[in-house]
Amino acid sequence: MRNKVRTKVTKTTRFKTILRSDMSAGNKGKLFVKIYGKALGNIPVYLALIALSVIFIVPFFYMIGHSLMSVNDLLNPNIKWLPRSFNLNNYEYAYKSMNYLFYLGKTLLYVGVAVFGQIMTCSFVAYGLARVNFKGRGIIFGIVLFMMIVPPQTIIVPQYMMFANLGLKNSFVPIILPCFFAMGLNGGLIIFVFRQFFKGMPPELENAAMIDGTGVFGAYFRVIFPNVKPAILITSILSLVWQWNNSFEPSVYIEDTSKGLLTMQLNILQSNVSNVMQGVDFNEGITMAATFLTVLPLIVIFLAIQGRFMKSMAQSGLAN
Amino acid sequence: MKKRSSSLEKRRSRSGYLFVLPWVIGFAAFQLWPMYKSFMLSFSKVTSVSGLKTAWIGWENYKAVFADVDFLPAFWNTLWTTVLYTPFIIVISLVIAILLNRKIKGRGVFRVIFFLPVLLGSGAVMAQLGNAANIMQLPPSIEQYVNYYFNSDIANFINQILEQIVRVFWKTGVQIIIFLGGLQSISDSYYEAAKVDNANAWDMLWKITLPMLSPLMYLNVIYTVIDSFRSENNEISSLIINQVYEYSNYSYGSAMGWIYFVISFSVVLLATLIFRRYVYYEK
Repeated sequence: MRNKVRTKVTKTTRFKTILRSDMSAGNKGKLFVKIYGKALGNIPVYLALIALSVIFIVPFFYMIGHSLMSVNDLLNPNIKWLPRSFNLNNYEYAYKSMNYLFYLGKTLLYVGVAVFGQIMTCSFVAYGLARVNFKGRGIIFGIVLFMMIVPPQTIIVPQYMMFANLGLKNSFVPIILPCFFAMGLNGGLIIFVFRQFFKGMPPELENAAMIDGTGVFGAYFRVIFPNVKPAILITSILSLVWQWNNSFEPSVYIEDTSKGLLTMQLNILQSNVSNVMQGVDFNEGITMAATFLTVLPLIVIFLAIQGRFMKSMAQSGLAN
Repeated sequence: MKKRSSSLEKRRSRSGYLFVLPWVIGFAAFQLWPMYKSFMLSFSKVTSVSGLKTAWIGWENYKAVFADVDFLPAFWNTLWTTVLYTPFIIVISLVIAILLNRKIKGRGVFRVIFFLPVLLGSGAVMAQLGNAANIMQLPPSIEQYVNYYFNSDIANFINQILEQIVRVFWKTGVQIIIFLGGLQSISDSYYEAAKVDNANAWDMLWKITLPMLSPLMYLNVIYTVIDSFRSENNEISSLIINQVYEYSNYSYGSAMGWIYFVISFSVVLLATLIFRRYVYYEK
């Protein structure tokens, strides 16, 4: 509050001084730029961002619009985007037939564990690849890159048989366990992100930590890891979204859909609706409502943490 | 003194193995065997689908792949789109990241919007939306305008280009987030020092922002290339997936897959060697 007042005061005083010096010259255009230049400089930025937003917002808009449409609106060929009557029935049907709260909680728990495992182990491995010289480092990084190219579809069958032989059917272990060994969904990219951030780190930080006599691992956990907050933030967001939306591996390993996650309930929505909601006809509006309910938590989480992408956070004790 | 530092080096390099140990265990436990199976399958013929019984047939599958009329054109198309799209994806995501890093009102909302391709564009949600709305389409009204103002040949051409642009934009989400994180880790002190020396914004972009972002530029280039190669939507992946899932040609599909992986990996390695030189790491 006090800050705001102060900037206001300085602005008006600056205005007056500029006024005094420039009015005599009658240089009104220049004066305008001097005072409002900074605010005006943002107008092209807004225009660019709004124009580009259109591309991404269209399907989102479609999703929300259709989720609010009644059956009559959906059948009406004149209605394409905005529902004529506003109704939340679709949300009620989707919410109930998905057993939303139960599967939301389950998904949050599963994704939380998977993301934690991936971030901790991928960053650990990445540090070795980025900052320690040892034989075979190039080969290991090469294999990491190679495994990024191989789509999971190509090796899922032998992988499934391997876990099935261990009696791990209808279990999340085959999906979560690799996350604790620097693998899992897009683990290679997460290693790569951390590697690049570690490589960009000034060596003084390491040396200072080592001189303290904490040893390599102590230095890593106490000094190095906490100092790559931007990398932790990036990889947590990406890992969270990927794990959340991942339906391929769960659809292979979890045969019993009732043991699955939110996305799986979305995939079997039609049969869920006919089982749970007697007398309700399945339609696109319900699908769109269910889809929106599935991504809504991600949007909320992202909105809540995007503010952490701010300058102050990244000063990271490195600014000298 | 020298002896001590060299033993310290040795200890450090030994710790390197401990750092990568989790990955090594994971690779041996979860990926090595499936990779080996898939590799062997590409040299075999499936004799019984139910028991997955196979018989060794040597290079037959590989010969068949190169004789396949669909393979090479699909491969060139995939390679061509990768080479064509990558520079655009990198430049566009960099520009958007710089815009989203400015102190503007509604920044959070804009960040969510530009992250929508990642939020919506994968897995189950994409499957639902893709069915319904054909997600990577132009806003329909723009197409109508173009058709209204130009004759059909030119209109088609413009619409095609616009469609390509939309497709490129839909691939920028991950790269934007990575650049945004990178912009955070550039210390303000560099910009302040530059301001003292009267540098303008353009100079600061080329002399501070870009060199400091170069490790992530490198990451994004390699990731974009890899992502394009392994995308389920590119021509060669659909060819492989069709062989495996529609015609149940497991061994033929895996031979095709292995040829494709090895060539794409060579392209990625080539890109690594080219771009590694331009990366600046703080020393």
